[in-house]
Amino acid sequence: MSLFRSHVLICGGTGCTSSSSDKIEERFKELVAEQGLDQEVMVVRTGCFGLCEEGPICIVHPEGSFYSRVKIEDVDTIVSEHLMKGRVVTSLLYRDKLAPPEHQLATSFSEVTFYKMQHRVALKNCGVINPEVIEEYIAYDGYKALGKVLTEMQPADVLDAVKKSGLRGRGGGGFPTGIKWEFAAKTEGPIKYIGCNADEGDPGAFMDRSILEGDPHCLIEAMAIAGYATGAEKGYVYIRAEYPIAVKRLKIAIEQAKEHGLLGRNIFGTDFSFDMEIRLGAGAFVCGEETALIASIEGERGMPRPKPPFPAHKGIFGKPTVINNVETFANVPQIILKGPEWYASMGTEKSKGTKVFALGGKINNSGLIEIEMGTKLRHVIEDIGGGIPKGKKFKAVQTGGPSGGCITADHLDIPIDYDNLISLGSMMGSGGMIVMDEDNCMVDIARFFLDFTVDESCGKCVPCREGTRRMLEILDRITEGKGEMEDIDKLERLAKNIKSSSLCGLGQTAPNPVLSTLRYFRTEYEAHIVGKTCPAGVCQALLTYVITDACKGCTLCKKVCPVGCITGEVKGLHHIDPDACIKCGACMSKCPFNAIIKK
Amino acid sequence: MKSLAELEKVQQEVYRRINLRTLKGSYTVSVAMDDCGMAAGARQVLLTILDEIDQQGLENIRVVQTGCLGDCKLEPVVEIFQEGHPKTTYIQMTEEKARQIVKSHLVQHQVVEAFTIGSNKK
Repeated sequence: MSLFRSHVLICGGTGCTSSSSDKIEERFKELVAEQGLDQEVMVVRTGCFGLCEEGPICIVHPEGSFYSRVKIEDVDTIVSEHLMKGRVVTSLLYRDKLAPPEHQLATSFSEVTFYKMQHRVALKNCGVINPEVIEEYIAYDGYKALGKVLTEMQPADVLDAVKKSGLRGRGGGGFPTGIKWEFAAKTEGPIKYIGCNADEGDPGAFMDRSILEGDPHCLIEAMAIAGYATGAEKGYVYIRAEYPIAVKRLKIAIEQAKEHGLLGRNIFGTDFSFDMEIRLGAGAFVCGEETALIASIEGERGMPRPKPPFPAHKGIFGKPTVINNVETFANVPQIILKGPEWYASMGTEKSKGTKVFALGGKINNSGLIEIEMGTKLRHVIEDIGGGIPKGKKFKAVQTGGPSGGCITADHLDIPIDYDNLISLGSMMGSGGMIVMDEDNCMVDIARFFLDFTVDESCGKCVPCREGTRRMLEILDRITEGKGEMEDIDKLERLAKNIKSSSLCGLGQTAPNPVLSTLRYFRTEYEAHIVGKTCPAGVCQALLTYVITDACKGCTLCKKVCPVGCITGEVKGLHHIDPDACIKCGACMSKCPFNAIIKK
Repeated sequence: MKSLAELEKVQQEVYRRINLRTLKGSYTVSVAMDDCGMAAGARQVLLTILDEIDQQGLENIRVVQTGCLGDCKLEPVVEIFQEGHPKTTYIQMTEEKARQIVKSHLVQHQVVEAFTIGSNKK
């Protein structure tokens, strides 16, 4: 069999695909065949590389040339110059701004600073293998862990290993995984289930999506291992329908695993059998809550149930069920192969291992990163993330999505782990990190998250259904300039009640963004309420439109104003009457000289 | 897949085919391509090297291409890098020379002095 001398890896994650990386792949295949190179050059669609800001990304191995922001026209150049003649196309290479000036051209993938600063465990195979070819997963030690478990270990040994590793739930709860598996193992069968929460509802989070799109087999292998350890023979993957690429790749992976006898009856010739089924979500954030997820799998409307009983005792169809997040599972095969001590050697005392974060918002290197627990937040934002674009000032970073809170500049030197983030009024959550700068209004941010949770509330319990809605109404009034100082007390009282009496995590954590922003940015709330201004310049109702002296007196704004509040002569400075102005913005969009500003 | 041995077999076979994506490599063999190199037959040299490496069952070798190195009359040129050693530059390569170099330099760790640029007295 011939050895391909060059591999062109093209990112096939959702992000790059939406920038036509699929067409880029087609073009590569076309040109490679045309040049007669199809026996020498392998064109491969992989999962997400993580440096999403610079997508679509193509990496040519073995050189490791990191081509970024690739356009379809560029493919011709890369094929004729690099693949045919060995001349790396330096003009298309990623510029590694984190490296010293002499080393900024990313000629080798392994030298790119963004990756050197990470420790990719769950993301080990993403960007390396073709997720739709099971043999490539096997080449990188795939299914070896399952083999080891079935032939050399007892279920109790597996439970022991997972407990010793210190792995905690990566979906946000942070519950020790080994202990959860043990609860299910100790509960009477005979029927038990393994469930995977691939609903990933947090806005801005795409860690699980990338693992499913880039390395679906690690989930299959881990769930089978969990099945062996707990006595379950069936797994359900609950995956949101909004992830079509992930769903497709997981389906293919399950089929291929079955074809190869790695799923189904008598795996590796042992007594152990395991089967898997996919269930699609239908757009409800609440179905990321495990009991609502169970209800949805059972065919009921996705609404949570009181806990206890916990799913490990009574879960899907009333049977003992282990429900874990995708990323939690993704760590399991390596814990088995490399040993729990290896995993526990990373991270902090109470938060072992690594965590995948989705960096978004006002950050230069937006994308997916994986770092050891205990890394300082400052390192993530300033070093790996590359800092805030346009030289703006950092204001806060929101972690934990709609359930979390914000962390200010004063706390950037805390090591990231479950307990530290909670002590700051936030939480790890599933790993979304939204960075905010001086142009973000914290009241508006709180309102945004609350708007989301109000919409997603299932309606079953009064505190969440009614309470969050009342909180949102107050925030709406504040951002419209109709707030009063008692509103802050009302928000805090409501928050306390909702947190303590809601049935599920959605309601219990929905007030967090409000409480967190009140804790650290109270002055901003007061500015909205008392001063009736929005210091960041975001809340429309509190802004005044002003014409600066860049005005040339062309009168276009006066003509377009629907309420006639602009006065001025031809060639003279125009003026907006702030009392009559309805803040529609028509004048600003019409002005050809950018002379109108909001403040 | 009825046994771990089967899994191991697939793993080894496929890993050899795709490991160039992650390999650090004990040796890096760099073949100068470009218009001049190709005209002199660099592509056949490259394919021959790959074939011989495959036949010898060698594991830790990175084979990369590069652009013109400048001295076109010495093409095809192959450089071999090894960490901690000076690089070896082989000139006026042919397919037979390529096979010899793989067997001697990469397998037995012996530089083939006669084919190097240092031996080129002209």
